[in-house]
Amino acid sequence: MSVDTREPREFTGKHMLLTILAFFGVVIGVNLTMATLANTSWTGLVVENTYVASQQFNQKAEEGRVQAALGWTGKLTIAGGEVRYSLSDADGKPVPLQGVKVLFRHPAYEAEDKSITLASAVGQEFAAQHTPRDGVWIVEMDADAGLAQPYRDVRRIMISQGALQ
Amino acid sequence: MKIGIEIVALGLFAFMALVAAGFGVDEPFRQHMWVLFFVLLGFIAILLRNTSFAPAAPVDPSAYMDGPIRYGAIATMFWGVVGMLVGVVIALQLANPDLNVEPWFNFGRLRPLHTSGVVFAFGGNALLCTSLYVVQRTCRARLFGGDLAWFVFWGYQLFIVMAATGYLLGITESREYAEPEWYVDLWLTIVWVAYLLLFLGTILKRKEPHIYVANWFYLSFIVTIAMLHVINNLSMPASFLGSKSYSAFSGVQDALTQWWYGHNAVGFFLTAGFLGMMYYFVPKQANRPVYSYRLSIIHFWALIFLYIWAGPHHLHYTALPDWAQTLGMAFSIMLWMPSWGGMINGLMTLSGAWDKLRTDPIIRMMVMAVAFYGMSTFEGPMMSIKTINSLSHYTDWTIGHVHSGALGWVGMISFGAIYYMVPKLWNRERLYSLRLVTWHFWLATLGIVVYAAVMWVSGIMQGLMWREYDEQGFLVYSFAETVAAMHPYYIMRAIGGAMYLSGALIMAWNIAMTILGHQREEEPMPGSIPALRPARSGAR
Repeated sequence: MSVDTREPREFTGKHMLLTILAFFGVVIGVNLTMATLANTSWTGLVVENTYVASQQFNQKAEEGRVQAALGWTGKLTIAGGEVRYSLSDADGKPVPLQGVKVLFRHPAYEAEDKSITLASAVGQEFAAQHTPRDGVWIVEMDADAGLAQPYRDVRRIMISQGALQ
Repeated sequence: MKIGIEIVALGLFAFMALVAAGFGVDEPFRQHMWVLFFVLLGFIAILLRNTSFAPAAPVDPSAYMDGPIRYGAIATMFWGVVGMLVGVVIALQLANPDLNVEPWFNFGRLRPLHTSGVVFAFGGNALLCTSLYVVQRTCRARLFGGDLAWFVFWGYQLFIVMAATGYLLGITESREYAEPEWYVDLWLTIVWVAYLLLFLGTILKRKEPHIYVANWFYLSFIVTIAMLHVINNLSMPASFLGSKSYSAFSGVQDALTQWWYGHNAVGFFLTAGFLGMMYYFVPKQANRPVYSYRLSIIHFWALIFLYIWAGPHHLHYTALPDWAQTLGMAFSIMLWMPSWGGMINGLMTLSGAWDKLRTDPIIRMMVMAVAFYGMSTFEGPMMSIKTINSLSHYTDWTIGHVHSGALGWVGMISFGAIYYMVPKLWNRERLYSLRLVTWHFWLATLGIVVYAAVMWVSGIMQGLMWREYDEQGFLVYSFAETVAAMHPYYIMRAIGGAMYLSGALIMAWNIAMTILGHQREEEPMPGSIPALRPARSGAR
C-alpha cells in the first residue's frame, strides 16, 4: 500500500457538478443515439395502429370475399422496362378497365416505394414504362373495373435483371 | 430461551411435509416436500439445542430489538454473494453453452434462481433488515409483536429456500419474477402479512409524532407488494398435492397482469423500498439533514401514483389495446420527473460537504447508487417510448438497463446501508477496514461500467442486425448469425459481473471481520480523521 504524500485536493461542488454532467452526458448521449437509430432504421411495422386496423378488418375481409366471388384473374408482366396488367373474367374473356394504379412497395423502406399509373395499351391491357430494381417487391394493383371498389390484387414478387420471375 | 410451542408447531409442519412427500401426485412435488421436510428437521434440531430452561431475562421495552436485524444483515450478505455468483455462472453459460449441466443447472432453471436470488433474497433481506432498523429508530419504538420479527425473518428465509430449490427441481409458474408455485406463494403471503403487521404495529406505537418519510416509502413497498403478489398469483392448483397450477387469467389479460406485477415489482420493491433506505442512510452517513424534506414528500406521492400505471410499456406492439400501450408509455415518461426530483434530493443532501466523497468511501458508494438511480430512471422512460422500444425490446440493452438499476442503484445503496449498520448493530467502533470499502467501491463501479457499456453496444448491435434489410428487400442476418456476433460481448459481460461479485466477496470478508471484532491496521483515508461515533443502539 503506497502512501499518498501529496497535499490532498478538496473535492468541491464544482467537481461534483462536472462529474455528474459527464456521467449524464454519456448516458443521455448513448440514449439519444439509440433513439435516432431506432427512428431511422426499419421498424417492421405493417400498420400504424393495430387497433384501428383491427376495427377495419371485418369490412376488408368482406370486400375480399366479394372480389374473390367474381372469379377474375389478373395478369402482371414486368419485362423490358415495361409493366403490363390485364384482368380476365371467369370465362377467360378480358375485363374492360378504366384505369390501373400499381404501387411497388419495398419490404423494408417506405422511401423506396414507387407508385405508377398504367395507361391503356393494346386491347384491354394497361402498361407504363418502369424498371423496378432487382429484389423483392410487394406490388399492390388497383384496377378500376367500374365496380364500387377497385379490383385489388396484391402480390409479393421477385425481380431479377429487370424481369418478373 | 423457551421455545417449546415453536418446536411443536414446526414438528407438525415437518410432519405435514412428510405426508405431502409421500402422497404428492408428481415427482418434483414429492422431491420438493422432502427438501422442506429436511430443512424443517434441521431447523428443529437447532432450536432443540438452543433451548434452555433458565428463566428468560426480562425484555427492556424501551430498547430496540436488533437481533433479527443482525441476522438480516448477515442473510443479505450471504444471499447477495449466492445470487451474484449464479449471475456470473449464467453469464458464462450464455458465452459457453457447454456449461449447462442438465437437468438442475440449465440456464432455464438457473436464470430465475439468479433473478429471485438477487431481487428477493439479497434485496428482500436488505429491505427487511433496514426497514426494521429504520422504523425503530425513527419512531423511537421497539418492534411490535414480540417474536413476530423472528417469524418474519425465518419465514422469509424458508420462502427463499423453497423458491430456489423449486426452480432447480424444475417447478415454475413461468411468471417473470414470480416463478414460485402456488404453495410457496401462499407461504409468502402469510409471511408478508406478518411483516405488514410488524411494520405497521411499530409505527402505531411510535413515540415520535411525525412518521419520517423513509417509513412511508417502506410502507408503500410492503403494502403494494402484498397486493401485487396476491393478484398476480391468483391461480388454481391442478391438485392439492401437486406442483402445477393454472393462472386465473388468460391471454392478454394474463400478460397485462404479469407486467402490472413485474413493473411494479421494479417500482415498489426495487425502487420505493430502497428509496426508504436512501432517505435514512444517506443523511445519517453524511451527518446532514435531507436536502429538502418537502421535495421528499412530493417524490413519494408522485412516485407511487405514477408507477402503478407504467406496466403496459412491457407489452408494446402486442395484442394489448393501443390505448393501454400509450398509457403505459405516457406514465413512464411522467415518472422521469419525480425520479430525478428524488435523485437531486439525495445528491444535494451532500451540498456543502462534497469533500466527504473523497474521504468517506461509504458515502461515495451511496452517491454512486443515487447517480445510477438517476441513470436507470432516465433510460427507462426513454426505452418505454414505442418507437425506441421497437429497437430495444428483446435485446441486451434491456438487460443492461436492468443491471444499471440493480447493480448500480439497488446493490450500491444496500452495500452502503449494511456498511453503516453493521458496526452499530454489533457495537463496534468502526468497520474492519475502510480501505477495503474503497476496493469494493472501485471493483463494483468498474464492473457496472463494463457491464452497462458492453450491453449497450451489444444490444444496439443485436437490434440493428435483426432489422437490417439489404437493398433487394432481404433480411441480411439470420438469427444464428446475430447470436454468434454476441459472443465477445457475452464474455466481457461475464468479466464485468465477476468484478462486481469480487467486490461483494471483499465486502463479505470486511463485514465478517467487523462482526468478529477485528480492526485492520491501516493508513486512514487521505485527508480524513475517521469519524468515531459511539454506537447508540440498545442490546439484543
